[in-house]
Amino acid sequence: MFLKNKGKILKKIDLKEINYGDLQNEVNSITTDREFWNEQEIFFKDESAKRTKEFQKYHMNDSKFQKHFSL
Amino acid sequence: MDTSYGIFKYDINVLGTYISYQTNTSLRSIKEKSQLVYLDNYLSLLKNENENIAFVYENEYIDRHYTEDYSLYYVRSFYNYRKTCSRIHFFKFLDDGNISCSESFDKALNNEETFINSDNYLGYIIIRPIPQVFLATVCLKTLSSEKRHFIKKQYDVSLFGIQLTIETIAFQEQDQILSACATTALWSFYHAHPYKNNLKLPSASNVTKSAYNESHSHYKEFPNKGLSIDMICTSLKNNNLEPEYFDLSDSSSTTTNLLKEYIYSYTSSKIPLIFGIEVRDSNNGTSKGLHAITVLGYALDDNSSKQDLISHKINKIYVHDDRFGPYLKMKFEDQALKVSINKPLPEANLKEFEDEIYIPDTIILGLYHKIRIPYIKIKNTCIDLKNGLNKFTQNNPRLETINLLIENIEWDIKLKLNNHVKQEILHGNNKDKKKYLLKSFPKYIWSSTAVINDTPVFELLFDATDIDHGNVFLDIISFNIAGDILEDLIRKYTKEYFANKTSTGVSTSNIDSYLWGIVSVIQKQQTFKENLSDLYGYLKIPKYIKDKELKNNMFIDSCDAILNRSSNSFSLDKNIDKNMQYIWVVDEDGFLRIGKEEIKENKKESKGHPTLTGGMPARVGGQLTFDTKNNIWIVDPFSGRYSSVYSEEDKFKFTSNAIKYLFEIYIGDNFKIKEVD
Repeated sequence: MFLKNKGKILKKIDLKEINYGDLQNEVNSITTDREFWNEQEIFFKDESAKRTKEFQKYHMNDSKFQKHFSL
Repeated sequence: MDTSYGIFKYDINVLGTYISYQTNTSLRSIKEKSQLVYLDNYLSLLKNENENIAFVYENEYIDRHYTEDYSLYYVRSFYNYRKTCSRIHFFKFLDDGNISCSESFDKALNNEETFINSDNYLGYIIIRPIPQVFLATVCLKTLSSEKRHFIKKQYDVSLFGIQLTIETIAFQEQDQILSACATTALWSFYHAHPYKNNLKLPSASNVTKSAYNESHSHYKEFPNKGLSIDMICTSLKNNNLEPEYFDLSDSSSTTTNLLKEYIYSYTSSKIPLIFGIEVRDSNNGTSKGLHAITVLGYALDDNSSKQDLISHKINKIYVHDDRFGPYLKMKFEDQALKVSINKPLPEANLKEFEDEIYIPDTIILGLYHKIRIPYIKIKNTCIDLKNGLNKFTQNNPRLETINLLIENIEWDIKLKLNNHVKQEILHGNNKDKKKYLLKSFPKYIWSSTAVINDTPVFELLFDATDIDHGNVFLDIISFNIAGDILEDLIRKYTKEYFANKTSTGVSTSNIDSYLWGIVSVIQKQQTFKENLSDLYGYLKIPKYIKDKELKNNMFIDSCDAILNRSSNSFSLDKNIDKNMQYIWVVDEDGFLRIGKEEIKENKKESKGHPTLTGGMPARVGGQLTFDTKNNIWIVDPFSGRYSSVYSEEDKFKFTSNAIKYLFEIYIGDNFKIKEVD
């Protein structure tokens, strides 16, 4: 979502113009099935694995740990 | 000098001459120092056009930090360095040409009203008697603007008995002996840190010493030639803070965004950061070396387009950089930072600074040990939640508006103290304030506020002190109707998950976010007791006890039935004696207790609701009378002991629920709530 949004023009929404009664009905009407949740669990697991790998580059290795800040 | 003070209209040459005399440094060297050029520039921004600045110097000032440094090193020099410093204070004043600074100061010393007061106070500098590197402390007022966010603390100052205060963070120039850049960055970091007491802060020499342990025995401490990341972390540890560090040398837009996120989430929480950078010449890219600075604030770009995280809108940061001065403004330019000074640096040999860029290398945090949950997992949780809700509502034209709401969410992630969260709730617009204020929260809380079009809609609270594998999620607070709808959506998401989840073989416990923690906590949030409180009101002891209700210090038992537990065959007597009436309460466990009380003209004589509960807490109660004309029982909620605290609306709600779920089910007659005019 983070990067995907960058190339996409997002429609702005005015909070004052929303019909909240309709919105509440919309929320109440949502139904899902098991397949949806299977996909969700797998999706988040994959996203997590990707992020963990990406974040590893920010971990300091021993050689960098001895760098001196001396200016 | 044989006078204890002097006061002059500010002029860089006059100030420079005084410093030159006190430090045995030539005026030329002083005026060419980047720190003095920066100071001159900075002071000019602290006054209006029609104002001028006066400075007052104290010739003999005993500075604890310099005294410690002096006793450790300078005292043993052959040259007789002074053991005291001088302190210079700055005041702004409206200059109509008639104001005499010295007369004003004389009046101030006579407790008369002059411009020498806290309102006009711009701060002070402490000059150590060491040539070239004399700025021992710089405490200058911060520039005011709603767009700039700075960490600052209050410093109390006494100028010959005149009490002054200033909000800032102290800055220090390295003396190149007891401190290099990393030491001064740490020194300012400790000054800014919310968990460090200003009276117990280490001097520069002690900061340097705290960075060395047995494994650094091959390094010479003094003269100090800089600190490594390892040493900076050692100093943090020795000052009771837990270090955390990240290598940012792999320049990319993702790295720059990560840097902005850390700066935003921690400095918003008044926690400073140490920032390691590589200084490069922007013309040829050559490296000038590694440098350490203290990050103390940021500014957001108002014209920035919508971002997933508010922190990505940072376009400037404010740092204490000992090569320049306090609250130095740095602008993000692609993946680098550029020093930004309002006026150009005039001296020829300072031009090189204008061609420099700072390349991020390392970021180091020093946190209180109980802050265990890292920022990154809170960010991931917000991303996952937004993704989850997005998928939950997409591909359905009927859900287009709610999907658009989700896509417009920008996350504002900050670390907050428990009392800050509660202060915001107390003074905010959210409903159910009491529910959140009375709830027990941990000392440190990660707060993620969902913002749509600059309007906060709801806030997620996470326990920053939890263990990594805990649920971590604490609660959700809605701020308005859009927040209510999105909160309902999150609850619906949770409900659907538990209604449909199967064992997919995919573990939900090892992901790097707390999404399933949110789902799990919301599922458990409506506990049996909370449900009972929603249905029949909260538990409370009787408001008062009558002597008549006790016998031998024991409550008289008037309870005829506890419905939903043991007396399911109970029926009410419609022909009850005229001197008697039924009373009822809903007890702690949601059981309906019914008994009889004698009707007496003097109400004090009658026994009441505590005789149904044995004096124990209950939720709501009242009386029952039979309407023979309409053949219906009338239930009222007017127990003075258990119901009087509720609003009329709540009394009606709790009694209606009692009729619906208890009276009608367990007794079976017709019941209605008593109508009140």
